Amino acid sequence: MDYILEMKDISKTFPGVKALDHVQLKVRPGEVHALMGENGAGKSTLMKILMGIYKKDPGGEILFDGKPYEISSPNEALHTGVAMIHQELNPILDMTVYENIFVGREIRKHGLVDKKAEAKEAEALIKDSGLRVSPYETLRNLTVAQCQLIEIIKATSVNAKVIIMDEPTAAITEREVDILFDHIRKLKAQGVAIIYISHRMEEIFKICDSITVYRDGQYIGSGAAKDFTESSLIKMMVGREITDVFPKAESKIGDVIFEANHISRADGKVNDVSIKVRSGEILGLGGLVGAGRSELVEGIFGMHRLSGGEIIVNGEHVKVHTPADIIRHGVALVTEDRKATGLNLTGTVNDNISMVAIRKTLQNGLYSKAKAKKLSSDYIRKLKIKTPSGDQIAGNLSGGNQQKVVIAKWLLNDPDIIIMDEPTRGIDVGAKRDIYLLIGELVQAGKAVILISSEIPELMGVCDRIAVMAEGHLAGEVQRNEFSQERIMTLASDIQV
Amino acid sequence: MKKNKLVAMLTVGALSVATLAGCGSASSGSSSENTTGTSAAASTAGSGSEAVASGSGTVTSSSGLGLAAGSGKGVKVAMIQQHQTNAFQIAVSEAAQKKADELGVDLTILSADQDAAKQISEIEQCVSEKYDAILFEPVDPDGLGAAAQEAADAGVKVINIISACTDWQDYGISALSCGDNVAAGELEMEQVAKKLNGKGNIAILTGPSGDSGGLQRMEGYENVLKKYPDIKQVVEPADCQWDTAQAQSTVESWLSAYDLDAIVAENDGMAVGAGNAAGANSGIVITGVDGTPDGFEAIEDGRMTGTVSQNGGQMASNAIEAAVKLVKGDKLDNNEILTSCTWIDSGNVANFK
Amino acid sequence: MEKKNVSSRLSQYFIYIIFVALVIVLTILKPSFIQPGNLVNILKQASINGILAFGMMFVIIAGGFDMSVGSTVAFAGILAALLGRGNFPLIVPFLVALLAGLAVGILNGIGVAVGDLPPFIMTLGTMTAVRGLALLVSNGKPVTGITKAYRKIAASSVAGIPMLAIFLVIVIIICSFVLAKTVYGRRVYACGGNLQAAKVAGINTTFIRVSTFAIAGLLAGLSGFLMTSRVTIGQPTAAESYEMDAITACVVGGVSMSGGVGHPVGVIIGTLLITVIANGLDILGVSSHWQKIVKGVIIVVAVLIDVKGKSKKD
Repeated sequence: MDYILEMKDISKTFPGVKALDHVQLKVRPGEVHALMGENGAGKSTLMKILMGIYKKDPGGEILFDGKPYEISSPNEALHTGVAMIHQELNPILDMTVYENIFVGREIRKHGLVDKKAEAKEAEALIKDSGLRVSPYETLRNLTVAQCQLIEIIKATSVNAKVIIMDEPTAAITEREVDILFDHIRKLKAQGVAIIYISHRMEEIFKICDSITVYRDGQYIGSGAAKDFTESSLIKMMVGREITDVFPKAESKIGDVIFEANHISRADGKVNDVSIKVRSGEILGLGGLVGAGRSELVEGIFGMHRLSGGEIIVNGEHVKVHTPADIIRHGVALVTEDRKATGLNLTGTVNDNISMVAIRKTLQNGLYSKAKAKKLSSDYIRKLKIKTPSGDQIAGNLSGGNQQKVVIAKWLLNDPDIIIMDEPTRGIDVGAKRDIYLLIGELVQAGKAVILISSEIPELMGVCDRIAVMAEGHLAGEVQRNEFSQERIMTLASDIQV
Repeated sequence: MKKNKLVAMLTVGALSVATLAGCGSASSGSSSENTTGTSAAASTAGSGSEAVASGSGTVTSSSGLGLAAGSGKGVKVAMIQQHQTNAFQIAVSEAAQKKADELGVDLTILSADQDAAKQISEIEQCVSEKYDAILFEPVDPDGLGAAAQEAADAGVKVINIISACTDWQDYGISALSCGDNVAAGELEMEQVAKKLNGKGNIAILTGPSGDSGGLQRMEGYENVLKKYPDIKQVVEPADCQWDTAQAQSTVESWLSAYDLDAIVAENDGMAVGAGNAAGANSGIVITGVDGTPDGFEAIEDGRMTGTVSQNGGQMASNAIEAAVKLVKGDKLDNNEILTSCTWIDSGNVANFK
Repeated sequence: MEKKNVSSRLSQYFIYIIFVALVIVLTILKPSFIQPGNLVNILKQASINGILAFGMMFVIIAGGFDMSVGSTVAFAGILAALLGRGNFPLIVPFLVALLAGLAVGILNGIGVAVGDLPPFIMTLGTMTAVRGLALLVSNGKPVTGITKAYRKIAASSVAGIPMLAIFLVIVIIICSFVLAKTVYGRRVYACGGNLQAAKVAGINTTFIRVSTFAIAGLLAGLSGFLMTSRVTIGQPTAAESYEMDAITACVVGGVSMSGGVGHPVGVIIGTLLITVIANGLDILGVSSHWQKIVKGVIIVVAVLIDVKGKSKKD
């Protein structure tokens, strides 16, 4: 038996869209198989067919362990031996760790739930994974990363033969990535096949054995990971050559236009942090997940109460009580979670783009739809937002295009300082590059950018200077000529200053 | 059985219209002269059976305003009830229909479902469908005046039944056919006072705060209580929303803390609840208003002492007759047609079932 | 961390503290409050709302919401009254009331879980329609004439404990057991905690959600049967807004309106608290308008403390 899973000639048509067009996937037991492609390439659709969430179009076939694989629900998929860690899957926050691990396949004794046995087995699994939490802890009290690992433990403990991992590292720290990879290697040794979906290039080459690439619902090619290079892979994914991943625009760095001094947050998540940024400069904010980077900028932006510190914009002291106070002074914040705090998902692209600078759309004091449309169409063009029209519902766009809408919304307000919190998370290579280019144009126009990212190569590629945070305080600062992954990591994991 | 009840209602109603029609220039919150008159009449009548007996003498003139059968042919009347969800309102629709059939009136019955906005649109609808007369019980005494005025301006005769719009005469409303809630309250409390020999502890169960019918009954209670200084309210009146279960819980609680001689409820539903809480033949005087089947049942098995019947059916049939007269161009002797109330207890309850 | 623990513990025990404080205050103000006779009253008065609250608890924990239980009580009560007038053995009105409630519940569940309607809209619809059905079946009038035997169900007691309370205790025991011990119960929590996650974990979420509404309906049917026995008549307008009291008991008892959280003990205390407020203020002879104010304040404060007690996840 060569393959544990063979999907041949699979198509899927949604009303008006051909999401998958006769694609294939072949996975061997004991390998980590990467699915690559930009958002909208069809990876998720293919996996949803495998999980029984979608039904494939007639024709084509799926073989699992050499036998025809016909399932119609995630439940059946689980029983056949296919498990999935879903990209957007949140754990059940109000349940305990052991309850989460065994949800849907509770251990029974006399027909009732055997809590003791569940807790005991959960404890063993947790210990095995290197995580240190009690099985009785409620997930609400864990960090995002810990929750993600619990999800992974859950999926790996069902004795599946194929495990799909959709962006499993999106929200976890480097250290936890290592724990995850150890896990994956153990599973490989047991002969389990992993289908791995990630936008993080370096992970693909670190952990994956083979790669299959899709583009626009089509199968492009497949092969052993060692036969690919980063640039050949990107070329296959986007259909054109991208020579440099992090284009760096030359810009003139001027005077300090934004200062936040001795910022402390009332909830203690940020302690005495000072940052400043000059016009034409890109300041990176690095650190591990939970180091307080988002908390810092959200505090500066008036989303949380500060217990101390001063904010100076363009030489003027600004008292920030609500975001409106600082927006007025020309500061913009592209927030981390675009779905929760960035977009009105049920509004149109036009609605979203005109949300902040609504005053610019007024005609005789009233909202003018025509004016809003004209303004937003400028930005749709400038930012290369892929949307059928400005009247499209924002929630229907791909992640990368949603992110561009959020950025357009702020740019329309013509800010001098733009803070971007993880602007490239979960978006594809093409869109990432567009965003880097845009950041370059902004600083060339004399604006200042503060960029938060968990991907160190991205920070090193784009920024002029990187401030690294750890445990809520500033751990240190690195100039561009001193950039090195080790230096930044050391600062990030440093507990003492 | 149903027929008996109806006849009884009609006779008593007719009788009282005769006695009361003369003294009604004030609106539904009628003068105290008027009400003492009623209670005096009721107490002289003594037990209800006597009242029925005297009523049976005038049974032939059951049509209060003296219209011949079939005289309403061709008259198109709409009646819009506040709602149709209790026995009282059902009796109103039944009596109205019966009178309409008798006179040959083309009657449409609608329900506003306690919604003033709905009632307004129903009135508007009836105007545009060219009804000759609209009878309605306002869901809100202050909210329906304008709609009535519009209908009257369009040439439709508008009559209030059961309760009136505030300052109804100012809104083009031609007549009002209603019971007298103050009198009902007075009659009920008089009976209680008589049973207690003018001395004892009482508690009162009220309808939803702000309900005009309930407030008027309360006014009647207070009028009577002034005369009996030895009857004491030992707790604040409780708002039980006309609801049996709620009254039952409240009275259960009261009985564990207070020594009550009487519980006076503003409707039968709450009186039944009080009766359930106290149990049959508890020795506590428990009274209500309405004369609904559940009340009768409780009176029969001793959970309730008695009730005051408001004769809603009579209000409706009087209103139908008034409508016919007005549409034909006749004048009413009095445009406020009051229907009196009857005391029903174990002695005469069988006549009303 | 310390701070969070304190406030989350406060939110956990807040309801108990309030309850005990209320009992003490009432006893001081009016010693007859604590007399056995009045305690029996409280049990009786808590029973029907308690049974409804337990049904509601299943629905809310599974992430739903049921506005229709009050109407269902009235409808089932009317049917029970019509069939309980000596024309059939008592088991007939009992079973018909349960089945009627069950049917309404299943309808709600199908609308929500299969038809994908928001629970509020679906049950608002059935609330209105079922009330109409109750009025239609009864012709808008109270149904009188139920047999002595039927009346006796609510009026009798065993060893001084009212029958109604015994029904409530049975419901409490069964529901608590199902929620805490069975696989089904665990999955109810999972559905409310994160529907998508539950689905992906292989749980038949449609079944779970339909069944929670069915349980609420069934218990509303039982309440209707008992209600008719207690008030001795079937009233089409009975149990108006009882769903609100049931929801209040749940929310005050720590059941989260966003689903996935809630314990039977809290709901018991929530139910008792509501009953004690009404009973206590009745006994004090305080105007019933105060009951509304006190109840309202307690709801808001309970939920406020619940929300503040939960650490916000970023």
